[in-house]
Amino acid sequence: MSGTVQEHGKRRVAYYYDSNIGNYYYGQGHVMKPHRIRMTHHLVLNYGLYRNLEIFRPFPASFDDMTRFHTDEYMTFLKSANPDNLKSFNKQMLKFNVGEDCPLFDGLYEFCQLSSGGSLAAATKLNKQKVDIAINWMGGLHHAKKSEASGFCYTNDIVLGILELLKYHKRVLYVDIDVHHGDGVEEAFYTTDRVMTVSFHKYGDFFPGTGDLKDIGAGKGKLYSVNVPLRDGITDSAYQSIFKPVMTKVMERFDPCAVVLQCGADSLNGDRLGPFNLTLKGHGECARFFRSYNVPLMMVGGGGYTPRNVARCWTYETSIAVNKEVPNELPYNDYFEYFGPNYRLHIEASNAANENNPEMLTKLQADVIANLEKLTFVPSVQMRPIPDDAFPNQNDETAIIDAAHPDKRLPSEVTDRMVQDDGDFYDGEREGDDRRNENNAKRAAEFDSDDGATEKRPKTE
Amino acid sequence: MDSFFSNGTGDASRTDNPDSMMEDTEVDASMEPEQIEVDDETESHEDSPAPSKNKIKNTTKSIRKRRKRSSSCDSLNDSEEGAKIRRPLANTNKSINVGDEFQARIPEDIDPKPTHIEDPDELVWETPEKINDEKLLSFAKEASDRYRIPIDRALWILTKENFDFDAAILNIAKRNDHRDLWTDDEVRTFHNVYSLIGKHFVVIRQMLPHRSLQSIVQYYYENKKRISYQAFTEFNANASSSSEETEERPTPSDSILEAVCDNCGEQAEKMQVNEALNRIECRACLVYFQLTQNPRPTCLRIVLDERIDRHVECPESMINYMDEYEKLMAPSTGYTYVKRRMGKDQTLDDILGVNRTPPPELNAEFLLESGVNEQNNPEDVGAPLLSPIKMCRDGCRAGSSKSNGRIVDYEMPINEKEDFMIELLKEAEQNSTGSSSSTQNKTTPTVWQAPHTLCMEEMDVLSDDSRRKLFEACLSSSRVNTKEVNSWKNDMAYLKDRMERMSIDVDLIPSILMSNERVQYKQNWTDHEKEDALRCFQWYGNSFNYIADVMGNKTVEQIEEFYAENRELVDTVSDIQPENF
Repeated sequence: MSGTVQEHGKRRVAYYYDSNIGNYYYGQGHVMKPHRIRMTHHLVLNYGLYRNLEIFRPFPASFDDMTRFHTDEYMTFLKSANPDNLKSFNKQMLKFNVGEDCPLFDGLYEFCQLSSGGSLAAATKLNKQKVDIAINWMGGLHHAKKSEASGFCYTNDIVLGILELLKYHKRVLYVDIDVHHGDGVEEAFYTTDRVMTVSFHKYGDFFPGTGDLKDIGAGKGKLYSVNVPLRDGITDSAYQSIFKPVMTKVMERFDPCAVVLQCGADSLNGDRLGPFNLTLKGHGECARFFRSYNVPLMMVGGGGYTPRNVARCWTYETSIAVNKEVPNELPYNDYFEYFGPNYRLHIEASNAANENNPEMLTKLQADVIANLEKLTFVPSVQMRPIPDDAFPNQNDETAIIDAAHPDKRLPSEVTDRMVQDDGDFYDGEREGDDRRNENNAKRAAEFDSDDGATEKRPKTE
Repeated sequence: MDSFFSNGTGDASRTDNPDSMMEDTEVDASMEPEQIEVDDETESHEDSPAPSKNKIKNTTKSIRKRRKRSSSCDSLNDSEEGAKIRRPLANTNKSINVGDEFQARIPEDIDPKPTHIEDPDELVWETPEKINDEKLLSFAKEASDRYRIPIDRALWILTKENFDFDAAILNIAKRNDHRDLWTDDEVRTFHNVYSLIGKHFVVIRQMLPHRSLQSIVQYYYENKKRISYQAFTEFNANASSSSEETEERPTPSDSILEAVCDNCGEQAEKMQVNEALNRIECRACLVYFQLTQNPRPTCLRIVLDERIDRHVECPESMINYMDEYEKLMAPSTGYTYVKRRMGKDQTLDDILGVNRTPPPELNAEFLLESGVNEQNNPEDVGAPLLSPIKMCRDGCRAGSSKSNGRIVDYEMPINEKEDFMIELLKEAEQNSTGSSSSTQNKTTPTVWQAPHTLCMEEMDVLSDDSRRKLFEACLSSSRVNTKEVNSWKNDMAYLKDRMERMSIDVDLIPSILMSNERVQYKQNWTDHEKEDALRCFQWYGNSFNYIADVMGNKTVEQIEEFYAENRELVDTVSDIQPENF
């Protein structure tokens, strides 16, 4: 089984960043600050992690790139609307849900282009197998719908990236550890069995209100949407106690060819919007989990509304991707004042109450795994060999033949392996399609066609 | 700068809570319990969807379902009022929809091999196989620390230079002056506008038409932690609302008949009404007010004739300072950055890169009227260059012809300021003729930037080094070594002193240069000082100058006074002791 592969050799890691990303501004008082990506970038560079990264500047995604998922109408609106001509778009703003959580700010379209461009480039790089891990902290905007902005997200770079991955990968797994439910991605792939979406999120009176345990997908995609609803104050250990078993099961049953991990940092302790109580270690453990599998991995950003902790988290996860230890003391960088008063990388968990008691988590885990058990092994694409150790005896051919019922046919996998010598003249299992007869027939046909050819040749001459 | 130093004296126990600094003005409002608001919203919308399990309808693709509009859209109209108290992401009633208009179209066919499409990206950096790791690290450190170039850019240059470290460093040194610098004027405008309207960068950009929005946002983030913007945004709400309320036009007062500006008191031909302040002002004052939202400081007034004919003889004693001034005002060469050594063996003087200036001589006569004005106006002390200083050196007489000796004319900044003001005037006129300001800004990008001077460069380096010091201090706050902390405190105090003095030196504010304040001359004599003084009298006899020099903290006059008071004692000491030698 393609289980965990211990660290063998180093992984090639691509890192996508555009220096303009930090200068987009959602508006006064808005909690989403693209500046956090620049802070991350500065930390990554000043830690010296660039020595293990291939740093790329992605091309901005084109209109056509983005309409591979989004509707033309919606993208045209995003492209043409700006704060100056806002009034003429009143109706469309209502329709596309732009204006409240998702304000119309200056340079919005370019911002979308950059974030989507990063994920598209990362997916392309993975497709070409030039790298093993691709990181795009500019992306991860998982709420955006096909023709609707939502939750600070306008274009869904993750969906675009997964669509790109699907060109060369049969099955793609999407995992979302943002505190909010990854509704945009789940909706986009709700009815397909080629993408499994797994989201761990706060559920209950919380944005966006979707992501119940019972939402498991529809149509062909039934059972291919997995939701793990959690409550306030979950700690590192509690989170891992449910994350690892569920994800191990998913990897076993779904066996993805590529994984996209959304590393929303609002599940950390001290976030302005998220009520979870994770530290970098628990959060980063999720990234480490997927790194240990030998599948192409794309890591994208996402939520995170306390910029200093976002920068810390994503820097730490970059270091996990390149498998480098980084010191706890932050290096000097342009924004070091933001990291006061302790100027350390890691953050402490708070003593907030964990409303997820172990019994609840156990039950939740059992429910999720029960759903996963219902999955037929690996859908709509070729099957992998069944694990050898499941029925060890079956390997022994002679044992099967000995135990076989004399009045029934042998299992085909045994007969397939049997080689009948051409010299054998006894009636065996295959009476109808005897190979010797087949051969004869073939030969006769060859003679016929040969004759035909020889007959024709003189005519042409 | 001062505010930075005052709370960053290397003290390990910094009390200010970073959270409070980081969060925006609306945090408090958004900290309110979420439930109340959510309840309000669900009540007001009867069509709010049922709980989640019913939301997901496993309809097949062919059946298209009308989407339920969620509450966020309906409340859009009153978003302006609600924005301040609304918690972000308040909508918890979204749903997953099924149908062609919601799901992504998934490509059916899978290519076994990726075709060779071009990468949609550009390689910035890839570590080559054979590279000296230490050299690479030190290269990156040098580029970022000494030349203050972002590391990724430095790496890109290194790649372009084919991994030749020396060539790359040379290249980087050359690029030094291309940095995005903000002039004092721009900084002041930014702060003024920011204090009035807050973080509306689009509006701020209209005041800084030659700056891109991105550049403004970047400036804000880079300085956010160094300047406590919150402090001066406090009064913004009141100020802006009051200016809007005073709609009524003031009746033409007497001043309009007299044509005297209410602000500066000057006569002018065209007077206009300043609606915000409800008074009549001249054009210059009005433009100033429109730009900065502050009344134009009267002491800044540059009267034309003052500018033309005021040549002041440069006193002998000031020539040194003028030389230094000239040196510091020279265009920046980046030399300070180059000279700067980062590492353990540096001393403070290495960091500072400037030699100490000798203390000023007190008896020099110095005439500079504008200097007094400057002092009165705290806002503009930082930019005395704008005042009409003109100095003749080498004994050139006031008012005499310029051919007579060398004239050092520091008019250049003034001229530029003038040009700038003229441009602004033009712009203001254009705006007032009815064209919308936003389009105006796009069509006429005015480019004006004061030259980057040596002095600015040194200030730059200085402030950066101070930040570094602070950073080091904070880093090792956990293992506090009182000795170290004390030495840092001293360092910081020295830096602060240095900084203040430098800005004063550069400013050349005569009243401060001439004042006695810079050295404390205490009136009281301690016993210790008295002993010292007596010993001095032994050695130097009655040469009061020497004694004052040696004592350091007493003026010549004070020594004389002391002598007069303790004549007998001194005389006995100075008469007897020398004979013993």
